[in-house]
Amino acid sequence: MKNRKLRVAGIVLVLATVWYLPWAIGHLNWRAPWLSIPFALASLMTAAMSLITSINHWHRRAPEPHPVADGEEPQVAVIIPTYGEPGRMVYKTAKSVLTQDYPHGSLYLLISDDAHRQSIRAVAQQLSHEYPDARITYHEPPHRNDPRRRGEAKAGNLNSALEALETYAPEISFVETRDADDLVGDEGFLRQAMGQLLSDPQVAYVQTIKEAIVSPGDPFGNLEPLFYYSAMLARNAANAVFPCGSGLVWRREALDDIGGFPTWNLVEDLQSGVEALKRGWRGVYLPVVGAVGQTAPEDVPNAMKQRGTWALDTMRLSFWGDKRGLSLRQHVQFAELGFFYLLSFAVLVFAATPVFALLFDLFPLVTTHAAYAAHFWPYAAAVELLLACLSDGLPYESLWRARQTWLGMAPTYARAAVLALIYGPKHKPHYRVTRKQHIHQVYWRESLPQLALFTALVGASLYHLATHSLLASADLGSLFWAAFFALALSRSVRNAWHGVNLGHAILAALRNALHTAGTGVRLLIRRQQKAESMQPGRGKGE
Amino acid sequence: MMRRCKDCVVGLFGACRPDYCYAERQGLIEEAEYLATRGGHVLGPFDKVEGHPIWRAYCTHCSQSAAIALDPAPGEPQIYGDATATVCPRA
Repeated sequence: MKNRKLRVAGIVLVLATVWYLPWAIGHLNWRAPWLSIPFALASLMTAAMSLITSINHWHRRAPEPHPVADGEEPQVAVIIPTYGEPGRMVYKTAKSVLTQDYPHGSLYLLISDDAHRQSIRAVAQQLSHEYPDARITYHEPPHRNDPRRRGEAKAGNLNSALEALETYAPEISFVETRDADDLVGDEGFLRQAMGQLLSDPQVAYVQTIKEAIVSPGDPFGNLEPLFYYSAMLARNAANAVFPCGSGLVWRREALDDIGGFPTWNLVEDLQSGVEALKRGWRGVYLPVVGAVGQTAPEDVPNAMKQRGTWALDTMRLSFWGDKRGLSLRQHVQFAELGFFYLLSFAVLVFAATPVFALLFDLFPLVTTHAAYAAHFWPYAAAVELLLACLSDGLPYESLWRARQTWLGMAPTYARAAVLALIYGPKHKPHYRVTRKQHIHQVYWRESLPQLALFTALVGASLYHLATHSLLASADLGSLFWAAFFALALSRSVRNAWHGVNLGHAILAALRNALHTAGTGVRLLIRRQQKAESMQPGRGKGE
Repeated sequence: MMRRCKDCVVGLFGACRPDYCYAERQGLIEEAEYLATRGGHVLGPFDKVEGHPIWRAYCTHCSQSAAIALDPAPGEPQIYGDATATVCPRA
């Protein structure tokens, strides 16, 4: 793929970093080390991340398409693991598998139900009637306490399904895993994915694009175009693609080679890719839409849970995972993945810095305006240039939305990094399936860090404007960054009441408060009256 | 508010409030109710044991209990309690 713009942007950023960073370190404000040292560390982390990103995106590659010809389709087992998803949702997913451009006779559908529900068994039976050519099996994995089970949660479910395949379909050489809520996107998904697996016997798995049905504007950043249309192309060039759990087809031999779906981490997908790559297999990213989620997290706690789990999984791998056997390029790619989450600490430091500058005239650097402008702004422009080139071909809104999501999730990512350290390599929290229903409420408590930072940025800006002359003495640089971070945080603040009519919610809260206050007052009056009536000698004669 | 369950990823990320694991435990509750009903028990509502991923219900006739555990320790059952294993003496 042509990549010249990105390479130039990477070189410009390296030069700008060399120009800015040593200067910044040499001008730290040692009178406020609590501010300047975190700022210096954050700057170093950002520079490291920029360098790693520039290196990783030096090459990008999309594979040549090799769709399987009509009549040559190999048998594929499609495993749909489920645990609590509504039967209707599982039915729609399974039906989308059967209605894609792939012959029913070459599909073996295994619905693996960890919740052991009659409703899901009925779905399998109904599909068997509707598609008599396809082989469809309802499978129940062992319960979690059962010694036959290999792994908790989805990994345990998938491993049980793999074992079932040994019994029901030992001849099948390819296995697709599809989340119970993920419809097939592109009708040619399996034909294209199978083509990649057939054209190269070293390919262990093919990962495609995962999309989802989201609200207009994708307020929670669920579509992740930067990941699927940019980062994955770079990973593909470095053979560092990792499975994303759905819209994914495995070569069974590779799965056998890694001993089934790994259970060391919270979820199996990322780790399974690392295990295969360590053993010399290839992972391919195919830019066709393989999965479209029927739902995606669109309330704050659900988004926090899903992103937090991904972050925790990645940080556990970064801190404690055994990555021996990966090549240097693969290591650098996975390092970028870990840095993405670690950088949340840095972004929180950067976002808080304008507050101190505007309120207390406290700066992390001691310098003149001119020197600051000469060193910092070229660096900031170079970062923007790199980001713009990374999202080449995508609307600018995608880049902005990715930034908003990242900043909004920064407290969750930071918490994930800390949790990964605290739990260590031998312990991990219990996984929960991501909730498939939206619960729309006002989530003030869950959004408190973002709200506090947003309020501090806006408040500090207003205070500064009220106490300084805009043209003569105001700190325009800090005001700019305060506005930038406040705008970026505004999405998270707005998401706190996504799906709720805020006016109604405030009125209801006021009504409740008034009701509570009224009840309290009535109780007090009643108590007072009771006390007065019990006092002897009060009333008539006085 | 329920106290979050130790070691659950949902609680650790502060996302527990809206009854997060409702769908996950429904299957287990259905199974526990099936086992209890087979023995003639009539279970009341399943209530959470504070601070643990365990929900417990009592037979409205004999007060024997049935419980479900979302994250049982290795070797421990997900569904247990006298009401799931015995015949209700007052049925």
